[in-house]
Amino acid sequence: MRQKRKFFVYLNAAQKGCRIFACPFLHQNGGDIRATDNEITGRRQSKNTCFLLTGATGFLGIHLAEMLSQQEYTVIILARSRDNTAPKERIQELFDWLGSDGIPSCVQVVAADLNRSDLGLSWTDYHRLASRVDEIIHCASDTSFSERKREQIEKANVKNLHHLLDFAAKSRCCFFHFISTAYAAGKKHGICPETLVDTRSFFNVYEETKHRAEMTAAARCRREGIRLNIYRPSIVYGNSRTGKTLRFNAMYYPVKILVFLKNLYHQKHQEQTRESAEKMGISFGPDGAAHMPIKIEAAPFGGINLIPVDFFTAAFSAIMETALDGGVFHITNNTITSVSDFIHYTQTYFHITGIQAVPAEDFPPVHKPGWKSCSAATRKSTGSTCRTNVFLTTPAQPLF
Amino acid sequence: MKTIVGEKWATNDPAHLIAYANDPFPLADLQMPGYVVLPGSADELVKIVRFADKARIPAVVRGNGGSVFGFVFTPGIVIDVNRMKNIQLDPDNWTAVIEPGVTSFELQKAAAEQGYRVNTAEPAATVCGNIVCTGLFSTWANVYGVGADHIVDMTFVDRHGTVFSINDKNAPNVFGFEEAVLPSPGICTGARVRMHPVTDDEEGLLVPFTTLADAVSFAKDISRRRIGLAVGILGGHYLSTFISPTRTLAEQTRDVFSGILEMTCVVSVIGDKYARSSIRQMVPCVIDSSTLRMFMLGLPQLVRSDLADIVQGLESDRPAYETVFSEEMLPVLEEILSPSPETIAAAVDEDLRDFYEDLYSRPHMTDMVWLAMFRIVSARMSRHKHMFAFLIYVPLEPVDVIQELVTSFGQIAEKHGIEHDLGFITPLDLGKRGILEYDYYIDHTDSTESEKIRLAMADIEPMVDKLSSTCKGVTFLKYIFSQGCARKENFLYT
Repeated sequence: MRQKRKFFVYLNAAQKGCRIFACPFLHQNGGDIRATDNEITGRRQSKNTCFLLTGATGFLGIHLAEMLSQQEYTVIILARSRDNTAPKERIQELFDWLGSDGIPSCVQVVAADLNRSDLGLSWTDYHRLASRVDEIIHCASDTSFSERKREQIEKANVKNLHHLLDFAAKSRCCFFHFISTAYAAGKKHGICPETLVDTRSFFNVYEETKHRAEMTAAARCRREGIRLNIYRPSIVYGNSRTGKTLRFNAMYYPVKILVFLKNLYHQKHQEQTRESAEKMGISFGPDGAAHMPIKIEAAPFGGINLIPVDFFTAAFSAIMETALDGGVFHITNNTITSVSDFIHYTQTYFHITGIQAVPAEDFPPVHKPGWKSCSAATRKSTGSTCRTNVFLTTPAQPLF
Repeated sequence: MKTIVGEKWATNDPAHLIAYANDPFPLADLQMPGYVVLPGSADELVKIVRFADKARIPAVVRGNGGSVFGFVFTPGIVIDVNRMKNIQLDPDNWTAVIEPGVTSFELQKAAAEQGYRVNTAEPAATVCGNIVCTGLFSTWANVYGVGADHIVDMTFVDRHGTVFSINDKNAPNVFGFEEAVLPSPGICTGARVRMHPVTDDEEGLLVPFTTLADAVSFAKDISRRRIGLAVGILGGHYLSTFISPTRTLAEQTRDVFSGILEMTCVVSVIGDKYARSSIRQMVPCVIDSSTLRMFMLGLPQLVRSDLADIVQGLESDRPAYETVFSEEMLPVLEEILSPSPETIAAAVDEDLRDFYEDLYSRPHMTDMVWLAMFRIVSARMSRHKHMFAFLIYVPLEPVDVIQELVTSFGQIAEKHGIEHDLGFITPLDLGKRGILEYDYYIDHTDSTESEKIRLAMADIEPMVDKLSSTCKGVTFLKYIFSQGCARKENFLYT
């Protein structure tokens, strides 16, 4: 049995305050591991490791693909076509966005579909791929929080993981890297250790499925003798140096709404049709600064745990290279950005005033319909709520 | 025939006959009639029928231009009732006495001027013909019924020239129903149809749903509770087409409805203020008449704006439409849409814009009650392709029957490469039953598309017949054809 050990990795100044904390656990009572430390490190040092990467069309995934390619690893990306765009084209576009000169030569794109137990590959291709893969990084995920999308989220985050783990079991994979979330502990209070968490209560289906996925991956990898690292990032945003981000969602979303509203009313203001803006209490200064009396629902003392994507990839790389025992790793920020600070930054940057963070009680109660739809009546009760653990709840309820 | 109707109203001139040789039905070929005659009265109509019978010349009756099922072709005489347009309102009895050439629009207009409403079909359809052929259904059938519910009396002339009123004790029984394709009881020479009272607080609203099952369940429930007047579940294609002046805008709107706003379908309700108040208490989101008007006048902005990007980013357990149509959001939505006749007119070709601006400056084109009564915009359904409508009477409970039908119609259409969508479902008889329309869209001028529909029909008929034989309340409308005067109970509860 391997000895438990803890370590901290502090990164450079730009990422100061962000911490990685590891707790190996995964091979206790497990089967024989498939490769020794020396075999793994030897392969990696000679750049003979072949990584299979899922989710590379997403924000984290493409950054991981870039990082691995910069380290000259062989990377096989599994991707689907979408909107008549072929997988390779999609990845090409993302590498272009990253500023690379095309898809790096060490990166290969394979059209595959995790929704299918055979990954959408022919028997021959499936087994040929299995014979090449040394390590798997599973980044593909459905990050929606909506209970209404439970089936879709469960499929993406749990069922598809089974398909990939089946593949891993049949392959020469010796290390499975699973990108989870810092919120996999759900509603559990107190200190959250870097280990699998026993909890059954979650804020949303995303947390729940990520928790289930961690359990699934741990059990299967233990049985198969595959090492497992679970990475639990908090909320990842754009590059800390350039500000570049792939999508303006998650923490960017409420900012986007504010800017959208500002632009909308500013246009009317310029067209001299100010009546509606005035009715909403919106006004503009001579310098174009907007006063928009908008309330944002936020828990008292609420904040956001943010990490920039370059910190995430650096942390991932550091963990991957050094934590060979397998374990759970929180990639989080020691400093929480308060909602009021976030509002302050937004107001300053976009020349807006009037935004307020207020508790839920300040909003009128949501109308509760008397009629129950059949889908509501049969909807599985999970104890989940629609509250996000990001920072905004029900962003659809701006009050002016 | 000229001696019966006058020199001007009977002809065998091919230049006139050609106008009666075709309709959009894709499975019927052109057929030139031998003669066309336009009687001016019931008496003339009867004489023509007797003449035809005596001369052994086949005769068919044609309403205001044509049917869409190829029923009005003959090598003999086409009797066009277009001159028989007399309407006599009888407010004391809440009825109207009409001749067979009266169209839905004409009758509705006359009734509305007196503060009444009739249940009518598409504006150009003749009322009598529609009753006889289909039993006349619309979303108003929820409260006004179908078939015999519409009529107090009707007179017919049978093919031998015998005239009878359906209320005569010895008349053929038109109120019964037989599940078979039967000939009509004769040619209708006149009818006394029901008018319905109208209150001055009627307005429309839409209740959006993410699933058809929920929409059906809701429509059934309000019908059972006698909430609302006209009730219809509209599919995404129907709704977007109704409210969009161009096909392109309709397609874009449909994408926004289903893809962005998550409105798979809506329940459209016309009701008085009490009904609307009840509905507001029942569901989390309604699109009321003023919001719908705003929406209709601002549609081009809806599909162009950044709203889609904003709405798609919402993470909520509520469907996106609940957020977008919430009270707090409506002023914002109004800013985004900039609703006005000019805005909606921008969707049409430049040379039509002045006309559309004028059209949409009037209240009618955005008034749900008026639109539901006069059904003007139903013409938009066939603006890019001929609509081939399949109509089935169905039980609303369990909803599986409807879902099976919808799935089957969809699968058959896909199999044959035909555009398709759910049309509407309207509850009947307090929600116990309903009528479902599923639409296929084909280019009826393209012979390959006609062949597709022919093959699809071969799959559809056994599918519906099989369901009908195993499931109570499922009746294909093709069996109602020409039995439209039947009591609804006789075909709804077989």
